[in-house]
Amino acid sequence: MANSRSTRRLAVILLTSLGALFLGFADAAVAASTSSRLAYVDPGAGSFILQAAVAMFAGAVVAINAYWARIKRFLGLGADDGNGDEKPAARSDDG
Amino acid sequence: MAEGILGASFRDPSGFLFERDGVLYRQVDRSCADDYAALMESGLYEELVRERLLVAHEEVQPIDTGAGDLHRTLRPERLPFISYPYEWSFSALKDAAKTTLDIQLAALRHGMTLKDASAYNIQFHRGRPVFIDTLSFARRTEGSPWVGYRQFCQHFLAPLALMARRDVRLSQLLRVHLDGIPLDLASALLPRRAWLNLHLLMHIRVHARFQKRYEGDARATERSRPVTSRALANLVTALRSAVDRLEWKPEGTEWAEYYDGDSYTDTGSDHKRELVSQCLDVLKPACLWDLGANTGVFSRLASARGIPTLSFDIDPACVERNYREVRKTGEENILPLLLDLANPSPGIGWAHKERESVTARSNADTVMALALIHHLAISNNVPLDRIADFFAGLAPNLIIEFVPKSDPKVKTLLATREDVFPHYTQEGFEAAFQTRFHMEAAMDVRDSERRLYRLKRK
Repeated sequence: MANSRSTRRLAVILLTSLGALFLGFADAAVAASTSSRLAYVDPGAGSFILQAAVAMFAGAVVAINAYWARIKRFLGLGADDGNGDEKPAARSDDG
Repeated sequence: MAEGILGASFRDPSGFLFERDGVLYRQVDRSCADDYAALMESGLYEELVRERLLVAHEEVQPIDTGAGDLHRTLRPERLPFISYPYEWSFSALKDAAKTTLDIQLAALRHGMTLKDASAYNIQFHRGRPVFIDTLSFARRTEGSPWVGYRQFCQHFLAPLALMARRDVRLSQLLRVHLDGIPLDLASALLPRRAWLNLHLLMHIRVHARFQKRYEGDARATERSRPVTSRALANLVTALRSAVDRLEWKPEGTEWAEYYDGDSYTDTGSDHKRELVSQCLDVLKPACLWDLGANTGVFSRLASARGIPTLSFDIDPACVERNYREVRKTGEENILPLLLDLANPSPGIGWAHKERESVTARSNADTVMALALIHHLAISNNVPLDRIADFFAGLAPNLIIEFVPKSDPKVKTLLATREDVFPHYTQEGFEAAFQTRFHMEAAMDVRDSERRLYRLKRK
């Protein structure tokens, strides 16, 4: 379990570094057309830029999460880590 | 403001909600005509209503309110009670967050998007979260980022992270910050170990820094990188995963274990259930509010009879356990909510009318207050006549239990403080409540010194 945690932390650090590297390029990106009819709430300039950057590697994160859950299951390292499909109704632990 | 327009319905210029002759309507303005048509014609509306994710509506003859630029008038299905995020349990807020993201994913599949991500657009109806704002949908322009991303992080991710990783009581920050918890505040409050979670690191901490860095930078939005539909769907899926991983276990609080060690014998407990059931059978409430409901044991005597029941408690662990039971068993008639009766949800937001006080929202015809009076009268020093006034203002019928000073629970409350409550007696209780109520029945609970009353407002 300890090994699994350190490997996971390593993966998190690696991804964070990659993310940070990527975000560095975000500013210089090309203009996106955003329709003003959508924006009755302030989307936030920083939120837009971060989102655009994060969305680019969110696919990788989603894939890694899915594989991580599979690897954990394969190694018998406990339960599903809850990657999104389980409904609360099936997960109640109110005892 | 035109008459009948709801106090909360003014931010989005696409339309508004209004009431006419007791019926709720939604006006769709011309500015939103194309988006509304896209929602109805793309198959998205049909899909969401079929999946019970969006309230259904019907188009009616246009009603001229004199406000806005009328395009259509809709009559949405009216929900019996509107609750607010600061009244929800941890899992309820989590389910609301996931529902918002599921709706956004469905919208993206139909070439549309949610143009906001306010937690106030979700309500709990028949035991499930449902989206109530038909005008939150807009056609998506390929490449554009999600306008609601910031709002989602503030309304859902930040409070859930704070509740799971710092303290569940921090949900109450939502009562102070109507547009969600500011991310710099969430960032300052979360423990360092929270940043080992990549999602929280990016969507809260880095997000807060970006907000500060680009604040007021008009050109920043234009320079934003295009976001493809696929990338946006991945982002929404990643956010869903982030929400799903946040966990909080309702344990260790005094009240969550109440029924494991309450002051009743088995005989007393069974008799109390029998007496409460009798009251419910006599009153046949159209809607019941159970105040101080704990995990909802007695609320379920009502909900099992098909009575729509709001099950309020002050303890987040009790409300959480109650909500989990609702989800586990698929109960449709009970809604567990968090409420401190000594400081109930006030009217807040613009002109105090944007989010109504809990008393202004009362739809109950019967209030039930079992094993509660001593907490109000002794723990909170509220005089008995004021408690009677408050309950009389909520509903015409009251089922209330009097817990005398000789009861072990009251003895515990008085153990560490001076008894400054000479009027807290059965006689004092009856005298105070008879100024506001007719006493229809008074029943002693077996094997205890407690007494149950069925009262009718004068």
